[in-house]
This record gives sequence, structure tokens and C-alpha cells, in this order.
Amino acid sequence: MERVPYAKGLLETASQTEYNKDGVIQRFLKNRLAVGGMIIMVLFAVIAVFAPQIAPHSFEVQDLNNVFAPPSSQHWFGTDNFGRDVFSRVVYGARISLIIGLISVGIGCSVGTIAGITAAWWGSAVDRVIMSIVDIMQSIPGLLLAVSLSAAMGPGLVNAMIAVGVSSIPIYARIVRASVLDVRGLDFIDAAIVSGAGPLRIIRRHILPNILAPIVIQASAGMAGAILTAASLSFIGLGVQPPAAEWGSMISAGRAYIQNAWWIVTFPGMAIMLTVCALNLLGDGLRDALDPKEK
Amino acid sequence: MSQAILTVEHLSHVYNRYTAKPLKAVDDLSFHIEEGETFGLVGESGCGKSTTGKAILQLQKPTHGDIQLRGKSIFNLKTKEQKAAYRKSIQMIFQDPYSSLNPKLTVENIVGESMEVFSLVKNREEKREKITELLELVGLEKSYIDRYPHEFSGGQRQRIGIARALAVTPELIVCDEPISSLDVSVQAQIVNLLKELQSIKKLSYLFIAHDLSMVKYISRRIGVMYRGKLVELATSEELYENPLHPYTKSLLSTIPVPEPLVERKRQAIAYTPQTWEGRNLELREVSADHFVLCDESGGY
Repeated sequence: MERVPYAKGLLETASQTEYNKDGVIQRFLKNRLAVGGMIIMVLFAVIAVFAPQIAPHSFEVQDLNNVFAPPSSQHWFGTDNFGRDVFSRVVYGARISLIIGLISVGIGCSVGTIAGITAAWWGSAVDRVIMSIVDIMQSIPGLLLAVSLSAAMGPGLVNAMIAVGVSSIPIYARIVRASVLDVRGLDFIDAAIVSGAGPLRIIRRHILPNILAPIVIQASAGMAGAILTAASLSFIGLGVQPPAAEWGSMISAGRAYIQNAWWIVTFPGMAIMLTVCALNLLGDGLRDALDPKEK
Repeated sequence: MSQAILTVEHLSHVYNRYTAKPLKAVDDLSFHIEEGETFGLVGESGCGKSTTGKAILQLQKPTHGDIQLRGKSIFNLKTKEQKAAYRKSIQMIFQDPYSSLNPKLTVENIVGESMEVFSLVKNREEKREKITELLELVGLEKSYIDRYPHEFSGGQRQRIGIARALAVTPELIVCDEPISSLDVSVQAQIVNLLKELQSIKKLSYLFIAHDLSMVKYISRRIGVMYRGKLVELATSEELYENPLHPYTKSLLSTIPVPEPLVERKRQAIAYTPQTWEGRNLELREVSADHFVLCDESGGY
């Protein structure tokens, strides 16, 4: 066996400390793809917030004298079958898609986290009941569950968000439950009990901060899925209703004209692809930065 | 040194109780800890010593038996005050200095947790002042208060754990193998620190360990556990000079002697377990304060 000089051991400890201090942000910034994803998402967020200022035309005013106009300096992405400016509709669509993404992830994440923590912390019967419900929900494919939920509740933006959010609860519940079970076995939880902390304090101060990384990772990747599912719902007519501009419903409405007016479906499609891709890259980057051991 | 601070009576703990293969981790265990003394509990892994420690801290509810703190059972504390008083009286030091500190909290929040829970301090300044005192008491610099656990070595982390246990000024500290995951050079430092704290703070310790080498320097009385039972209980000197039970002899024979010529001639004594089924085994007092598990005829 090779002998390690004492000083070398010291140096290693020092550099390890340095690495830890370096921290999450530095590690994230070193990942170019993830930074690219983040820049695209920031761009989309800016577009969504300032949609009225950015869009050159209204998203719903029809100009029947100018239908199916190809992309030009007047209409960058062309016009659709009612003569509406496709670029403006894509810009406004960013609003709806991001809102759907955020709120449905919010619903899935918060309900899933509460369910997961409850199941893992109180265990036995509570665990079995909650995880059985999760199992039942998971046995139905996510998209099918979202379709059935929004079919039952009726079409519309709010119902679509609820449907997408509810269909993503199981994955969060599972991830959170597994993470809590991991953390729960560690000695510092026992130490907190010995220090007199009650269950709520232990969950808030000792468990939540230690399971945040997997939740954040899942939320960023899950948002891509949520936007995609919402677009699919709109595509089959269950999500956002016309004349509201939503990427999925724009593709649905424009697909009949794809042979002579490719721009109506192509640009919203690219917008979906870009967002989903950016969010996935962001999610991957966050996972690598928050959880270096997972590599 | 006569009043018992903690009494464990007929403690039993069975794991997997309702399955085909129940496991008796602790089997009818009784002992007491006197005020100001260190009671060493020694045995191999799986003999139930940690389970006993956890039962004393109510981290696990035992299947049978009673534990009394100053004559009052800890299992029927009714009021909030009684429960708080119990928590403040008994604290714990953990075996693994890495998993026993929450990586997301600073030293201030780790050591100060119980102070907050029991409202022992009026404001943050007072809390920080008390924590600084504790850090100095356990031999850490006061500037460490805002650091995170990953910035410390194993020995330093163990000192933080000790400071956390002292935050509520307890009377009894359960030390669950506090030195077995540390470097040998650091082990001695921690043992000396514990001894020093004992004389300053008038503490009693339940010192759990898996070998006898370090325990004899800190314990006044030692209980040797095997298969969930105490097989021998005596004062530290008596146990080393006059071990009776073959299991104790075997344990003692594994401690190396710091003298090469002697050490080379020594041989480890293997212990062949005897059947305990159907025999009237009891802890019997063979000489003053020396108990050993044996049957009527003195067979082990």
C-alpha cells in the first residue's frame, strides 16, 4: 500500500472544503447547456410578461382580407386561416404556457410533497393508504389521467391546469416519500427528538431542507412535461379554448392547412420544442449541481 | 454517590414481534446508574446495547419493562412540563459524527435547537452568548458558530455533538459509542473531554461501547452484555482483575497489551456460547457488587 504523506492529506481536506464552498451556483454555471436552457427560459419569461409590448399585432383581431399570408416583414411568422398574426399569437401563447407550467407544477409539487411527507413520517397505516392511492393514480398513464380529468371537469384553462397538476402528484409523492425515508434514518433526526423538537419542527427544519434538491430537480423537468401535456390537451380540444392563443390549440387549428401554410403549425411547434428542451436542460443542470454524488 | 439517577427494570425489546421470526434484542435487562458515575455498557454488535440507549431516550418504545428517572417512570409523563423536564435531564451523544449533524444547519442552529424549543434564552444575543460558552467548554473556537458541519473534522464534529447535548444542562448523557468512529489519537481527546465535563458539570454517563479497552478508563462500573442479557456486572477494577464469566474473559483477552513481548505470548480466548434454554440463569452476586449470570451450581 502506498503511503500518503501527512501534508498531502491536509491539502486534500482543504481542497474538498474549497469544493464544497464553491457550491451549487458555481457548479451550475460551469454547465454550458444548463446555462443555455436557463437563458432561453428567462427569455420566454420576459416575452410572457411583456407580451402586449412585444407583439406587433393583437392576437385575436381577424383580418379576413389577409388569410394565409406567408412570413414577411409585416407578419414575421405569417398569418393563419383567420388572418391573425401568428408571431403575436406565439408571443401571447408563452404567457399561457408558462402559467400552466408554473401552476400545475405548483399543484402537483405541493400536494405531492405533503402526501409524501405524511406517508413517510407517520408510516404504517397512513403510509399504506396514501401510497395505495398513489399506486392507483400511477397505474393510469399520466396523459390519459389528465384527459379523463379535464373531460370530467370540462374544457378550460383552469381545469386544464388542475388536470395536469393532479396527474403529476404521484411522481412527487413517490420522490418525496423515498427522500424522507432516507433522511429519517439519519442520526440528526434522533438528535432533534432528543433536543425536544416536535414533528412539525423536525419536518420544517431537518427534513425539508435536506430533500429540497430532488423536489427542485423534478419540478424543473416536470414543468416541461406539464407544458407538453397541457398543449396535448389543447390540441384535442380539452384545454384552452379559442380564441385564446395557446401553442397546442394553434397547432390543432392549423394542422388542416399544413400543406399550403406550413407556418401556422411550425412556429408554435418550435416554441413548444424550445421550451421543453430548455426546461429539460435546466433540470439536468440543476440535478448535476445540487446532487453531485448522483453522477 | 449512592442515589440512583436512572433505573432500568426488566427491559425487553423484541424486533419483528408479530412475524414468524421475532428477534429478542434486549431480554429482561435490569441495572441502575448512580448519580455522578459513569456506567459502561459493553458488548458485541447486535447484543442490544444501542437498543437499550434508545429506549432510555424514548427513541424506541420497549416491548416490556420500565425505566425510571429519579424514581419516576419515563413512560407515563402526563403534562408538557414533565415531558420537557425529562428531555432536559437526559441527552445523547451519537456514534457517527457525520450523520448526527444536520448538514443544512449552522453550528448555532444545531447547538441552539433545544434552547429554542424549551425557550431557555430570551433573545438571539443571549443564545449566541450561551453557545459561544459551550463551544469554548468543549474546546472549539467561538468563531465556529456560523460554520456548517462539512467544514469540520470527525473529532470537531463530535465536540459539536457534545456541545449540543450540554445545551440543556442535562444530568445524564447517553454516549452511544461516541469514540468508535474516531481516530485513535482523537479518541483519547474525546474521552478526556468527557471526563473533564463530568467533573465540571456533575454529569452521569451511560457509556456504550463494543470493546473494553477505552471503557475502563472512564467507567466506575461496567455491565457486559451478551444476547440481550447482562452476563456480568462489576466495578471497573474488579472486572479487569477478576473476570468470572467466560464471555467477559474472552472480551478482555482481545485488548492488546502495549508490550510486544507479552503481547506475542498472549492468546485470544474464544467464547463458545452455552445453551441458555431451560436453565435457571440469574444474575447472582458472587462478591460485593460483583454480579454474574449463572445457574444455581455456578455454571455459566
